[in-house]
Amino acid sequence: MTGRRPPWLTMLAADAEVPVFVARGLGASGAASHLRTAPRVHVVDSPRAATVLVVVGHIPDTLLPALRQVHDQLTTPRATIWWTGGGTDTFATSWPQALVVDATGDVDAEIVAAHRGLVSGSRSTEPPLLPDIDPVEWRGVGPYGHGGSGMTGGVPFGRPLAGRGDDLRDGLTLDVVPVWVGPFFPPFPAGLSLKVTFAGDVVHAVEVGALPGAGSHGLGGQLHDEVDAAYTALAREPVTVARLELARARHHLRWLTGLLHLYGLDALGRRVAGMERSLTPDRAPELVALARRLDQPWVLKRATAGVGGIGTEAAAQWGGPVARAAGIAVDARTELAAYRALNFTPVVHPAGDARDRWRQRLAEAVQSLEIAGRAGDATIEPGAQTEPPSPPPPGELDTLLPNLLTGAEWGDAVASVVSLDLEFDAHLTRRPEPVA
Amino acid sequence: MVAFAAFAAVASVLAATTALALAGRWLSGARTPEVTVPERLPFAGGLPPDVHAWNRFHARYYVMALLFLTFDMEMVYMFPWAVVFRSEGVVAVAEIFVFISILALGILYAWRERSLGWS
Amino acid sequence: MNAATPVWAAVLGVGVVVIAGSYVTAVADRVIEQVVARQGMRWRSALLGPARSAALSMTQGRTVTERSDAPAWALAPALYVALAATALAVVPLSRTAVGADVAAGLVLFGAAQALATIPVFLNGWSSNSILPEIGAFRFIAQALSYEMPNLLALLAVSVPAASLRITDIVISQQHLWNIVRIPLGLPLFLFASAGLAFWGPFNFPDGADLAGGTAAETSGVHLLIWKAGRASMLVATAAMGAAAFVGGWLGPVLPGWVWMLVKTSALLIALVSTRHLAGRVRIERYVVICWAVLIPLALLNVVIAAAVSL
Repeated sequence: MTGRRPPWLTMLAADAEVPVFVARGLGASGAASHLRTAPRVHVVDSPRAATVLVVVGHIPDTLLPALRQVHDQLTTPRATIWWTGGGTDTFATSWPQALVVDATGDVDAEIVAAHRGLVSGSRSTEPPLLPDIDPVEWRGVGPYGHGGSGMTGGVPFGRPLAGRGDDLRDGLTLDVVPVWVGPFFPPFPAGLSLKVTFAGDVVHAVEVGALPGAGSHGLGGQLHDEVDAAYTALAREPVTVARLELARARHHLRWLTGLLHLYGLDALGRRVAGMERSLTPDRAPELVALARRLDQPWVLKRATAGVGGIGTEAAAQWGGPVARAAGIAVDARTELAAYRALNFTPVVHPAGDARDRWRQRLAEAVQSLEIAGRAGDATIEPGAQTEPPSPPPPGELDTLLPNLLTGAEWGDAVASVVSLDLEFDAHLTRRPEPVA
Repeated sequence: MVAFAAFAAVASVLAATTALALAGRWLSGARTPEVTVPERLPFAGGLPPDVHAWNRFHARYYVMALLFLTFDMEMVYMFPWAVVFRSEGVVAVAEIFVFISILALGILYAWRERSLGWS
Repeated sequence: MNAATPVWAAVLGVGVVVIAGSYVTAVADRVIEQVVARQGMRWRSALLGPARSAALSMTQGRTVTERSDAPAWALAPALYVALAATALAVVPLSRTAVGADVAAGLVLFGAAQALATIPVFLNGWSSNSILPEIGAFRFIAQALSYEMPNLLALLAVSVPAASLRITDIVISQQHLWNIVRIPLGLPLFLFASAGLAFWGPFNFPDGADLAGGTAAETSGVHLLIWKAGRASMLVATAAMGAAAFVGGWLGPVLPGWVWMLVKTSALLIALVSTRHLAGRVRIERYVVICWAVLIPLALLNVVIAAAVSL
């Protein structure tokens, strides 16, 4: 088929928007929203629909097998582009096929060039990375693979069938299916893998997988852009309040793009991503109008109200916007003289559900823009403990997440996880180390 | 014979569209492509599955499905009612109203028994 | 009354409408997305984009998953498009141009849309993958819920016409359109139609929380036909809504088929735009709304239709 393809088909296909699957690693906060606004690129939800795998940032060694798995799951013809912040020389041995683009390169042009090459045939498809090993040679007897010993309780075609388990709600003993919803599941934050046991489409049990540690060895470098740099710079030098608050607002808008895509509002998500890339303090009224629009019952209000409620005691452990969305008015910025001089008071929402969490972040973004507009030259001295845009997740994540998600329907569970805005790398949680 | 021709047209549309779509799929490569075992794994974020996905799925809406059967049978009776209604007059309105209210009580019962939600 | 359309003409006509309608739906979707995103209008991308994506799909390979149900998986998108085409076949384009002038056309439309549950379920089930399977079972819940408001809304328009033939239903609107005398019908029908084509706020089987849902394991031509099927189902329901509620081919000055196309396009744009203006609702709330709110409204609608046509 490849050789006999008519040239007009190849021409049309080469001009198409490139379907891209984004595998986010650590230090990739701006990448997803950049790719969503790129004109020739279409970010898809599943690697099967994608032509190009774009890996962004730093992938720790623990996640590399899963990444190779995702790479093999892309449909042929396929190509890999690694958008990295540094460490370009390690790819030659570990992942030689990848097209490496560093922070100064034009990733959009590279994606389009790779796609055109694949379609026209000038670039050959990447072969699978993982070896072709069958887990268990069990093939059955009949024409459909049925029959033979070991059917029930055995391992047909390498995997057992789902076992039974009592249901939480009505006591029926039907099947429960354990699935590792893995590190590169698009709505989830980078590096989060959950072993979800499904009873139907309701979460029966949750186990949190090993989280990527800070400073772990791996492939690729983190793409630090202005939003990350503003907070990490605070460890070394004085930073203006305006710069910090603008970075905070941009971070919240980047998160909002992901939430809007989860709810199918891709157009609004693209609008928010475009707004984030050219954000200035005078655009606060636009954000207020956006918040009002999103809080309409047919947009996000009914879909998120009452979902993933976190009580006050648990919210205190989460800290940050999650706690403030549950009514706890604790914000490290109230300790800083520069903010007190600007009459800063924390924004709080009462309910602690997913709706209040996104409203909280949007309200904080509006507040940040207003502060940035008023701040003038106010500066924070280096080493000051300020409130990071996404605080580090609590150490008790292994118990907090299962408490939150067990018994929830899967759509609600994903919305709850996304509304928490989890970030696992210490750099990204932007808590500056104290100056020695 | 108009009726037969109409049904023949319907059947032909159904058959022709199915055949055309299957032909399109065949043109793009009917033979199973040579794929390795990792390429076949279902996608759930990158980790391999523990069990086969086919299972005795707990379809929690089974009570609602029974209620649907009731209402589908109601539709079967209402289609002929709709056609002859105008020639039957006011009596038909009263009759259908009684019919509908009895069935609406079924929805009320299901709602009160909380069988319309499931988590 | 009407001379029977030759079978070849019916097949050809419906095929043309399905392909052209799917393309127009895809273009409308892109245009509305660009309007809402406010990142600048790119007309060439909007007008040529669907063709380019289709060409790209034809160059991509086919996905194989481990131990899948290959015949059912192959049949799913083909059957979905075919059922959308069948539903479209009974809707008249003008006084004389109708693919299949079935005496119980309304029932056939209802049957085609009810059967559409099966290919959506098969698309999710066959690949032996958990996320598509959840999407498939969710769609069954959704289908059972929108079915009744849909059928009841359509039933109401057959009461003034005293007939289930769609041509007669359009003719019965000569003096007054059904949207005026049976006002609840069109909103109910559009709400249920968006659920039928699982579009926008009702995209439960293919949602982003399931990484693409039933379409998560599909690629290439399979995915292309699947998307075309969804677009065709929107076209079929928009055409049915135009015929049953806003008078079909009736209208001054212009020929009948032009009016039909105008009205179908208006309803199509209304349906397509829900995707970019409304977020995906929760499935449980959708089921409760359909059963506890929409069905009583639809039953009231039938009673209103009966009262009006006495």
